[in-house]
Amino acid sequence: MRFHEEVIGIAGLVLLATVLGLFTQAWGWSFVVAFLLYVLRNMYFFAQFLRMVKSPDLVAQQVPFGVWGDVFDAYFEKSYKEKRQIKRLRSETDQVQQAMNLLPDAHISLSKNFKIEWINHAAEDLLGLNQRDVGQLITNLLRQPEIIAYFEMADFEQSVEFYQTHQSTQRLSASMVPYFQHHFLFIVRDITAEHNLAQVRRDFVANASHELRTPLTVVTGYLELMQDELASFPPLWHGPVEQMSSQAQRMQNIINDLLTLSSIEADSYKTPPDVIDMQDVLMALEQEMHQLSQNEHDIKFEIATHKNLFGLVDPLRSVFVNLVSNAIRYTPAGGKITVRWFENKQHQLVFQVKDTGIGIAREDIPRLTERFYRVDTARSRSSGGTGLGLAIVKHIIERHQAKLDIQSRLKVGSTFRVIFPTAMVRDPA
Amino acid sequence: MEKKEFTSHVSGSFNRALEELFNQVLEMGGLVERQLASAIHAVQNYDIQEAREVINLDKLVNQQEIEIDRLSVRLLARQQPTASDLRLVIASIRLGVDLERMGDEVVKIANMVIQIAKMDDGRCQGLEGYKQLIEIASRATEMLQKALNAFARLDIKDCSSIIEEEERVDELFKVTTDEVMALFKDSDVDVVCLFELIYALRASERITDHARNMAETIIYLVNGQEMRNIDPNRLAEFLENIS
Repeated sequence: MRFHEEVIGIAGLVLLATVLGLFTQAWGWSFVVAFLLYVLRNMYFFAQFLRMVKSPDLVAQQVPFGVWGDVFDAYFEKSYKEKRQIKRLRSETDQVQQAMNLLPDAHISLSKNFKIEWINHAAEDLLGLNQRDVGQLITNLLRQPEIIAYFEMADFEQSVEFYQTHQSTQRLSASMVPYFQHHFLFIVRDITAEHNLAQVRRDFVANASHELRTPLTVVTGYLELMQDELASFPPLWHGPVEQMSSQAQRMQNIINDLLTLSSIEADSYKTPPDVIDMQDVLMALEQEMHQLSQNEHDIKFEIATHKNLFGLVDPLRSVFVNLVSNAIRYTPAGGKITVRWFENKQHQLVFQVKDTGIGIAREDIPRLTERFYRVDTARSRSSGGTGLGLAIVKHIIERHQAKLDIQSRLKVGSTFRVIFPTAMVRDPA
Repeated sequence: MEKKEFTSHVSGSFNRALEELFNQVLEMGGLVERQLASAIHAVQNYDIQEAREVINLDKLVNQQEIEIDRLSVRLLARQQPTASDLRLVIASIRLGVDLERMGDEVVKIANMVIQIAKMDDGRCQGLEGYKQLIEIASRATEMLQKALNAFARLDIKDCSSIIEEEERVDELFKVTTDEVMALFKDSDVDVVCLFELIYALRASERITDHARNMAETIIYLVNGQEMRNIDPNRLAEFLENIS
């Protein structure tokens, strides 16, 4: 604080006025002159301070005597601090910018009107944009109808896949992520490799199954013929022929399941989704399952709701059949199986199969829906499973945006629950 | 003219109307780009399904042209634009017409695919001229893409290459038609196929002409210079300057 300097200054002025008064005897005027000097000095520094605040760059200068010195000091200190702050912020932004540029995926920041705010290097390479495109509407430069539809629909939960140019084989996948108060990050990834891999896998499964089916048909045909004429074979061959035909049947089942799976993946359904009369479906299922169990199990159906589902009839029927037949397969004779169809508190429809079977170990549950995954290989084969049932169930359920919930305790039993979203629920006609 | 134009007016609705028009042209452009790409794909695979899609897309393209006209008329009537704004309106109308014509030409290519596929004995497949047809159409796609990018960025750097490319395609077209004409004398080849091929070649060549028109329109929009029907020397000089 420089109040003492100010006091010294004022004292000096008073002294000046006194001396002037002694000399001239005009005391009043002398004090007026001293006061005017004081006011003028203050006005001068006031003007200088104002100029300093207004000027864009900071010029260091001699700090004046008195309280104005304090004012100048305080201002300088504050400005330097701010300058450092700005510098730090700028280096942080540069750092973030550089990091963004190193990201392998294209990142484009969009304003809430989908105008480009900045882009990273990957966006320049992948999408052929350049830094001067800032301010452009994104759909003006990425004119693929898929992209335009994506922005018009504004459903950014999903991602969109497209090709950059007509000739390019690069398959791209884009998604929008909202961030930082009404801004969006548009992220584009090159998924050519994954896309091709998935395609190859799908094609392979579909083709291999088709190729296997033809020879198998011949084999089963002759085996059936042999079974019919079993009497003409020596008794030694009766057992092997029976076994061969049962194994051939098993192979046929596996191939059929594989084909089902690949047709689900390829999204090729013959019939469009429709309202399903669940009463009918469940009644038919009950009869079918009683036959399958050959009355060895205590099977109970409880239909607690009259609401119907909107979806694909045949795939959903195979979901129900798979779940109940699994329960029958893995429950020893005399066990209890309860199938319930009800509406839960969130108004979702639930298909629940509860058994008192052998149960599933905790570590096996997440892997149940993998293809050909079996908890107990020997048992599953002997019971005629293909190892694909739950994989099919999972795929169909995913198609319907439903959820599969599995709860199980070893040796006690399992509960499989399919929870259908409310969007699929329809009131009965 | 520069990109900031759309925010330079005091009237918010004027800015919005200009921008809407601008975006509409590019959306239509995107559709035609897709149409052309699908048509090429259809030719390569003799894919009737895709050819039909191309023809269906044309209805959408036609609607978009009407939309552009509507927006332009509204702008002219309500805002009485001048200078670069007026040029934008004029250019949009012209680009709309060119794009719509391109769509019609693409439909001709798609029709050829359908005609040829109908003769399912395959006697039209693997003719000499298909490769050139795909070549010309691919170049047309590139030219269209360049033109639309130039419009989006209001940057006429690429326009000169479009105009030069169009001249090269003209020559290629001439050579190809001569080759196909020679096939006419060859008694083995079905005349119907050759006719379809000639139509499609002609259509794809017309597409490049329209792309050139678009480039000229964009130069008019950005620089305000008219360059239709100027003599070749001045054209060369001009192209030298802008690129």
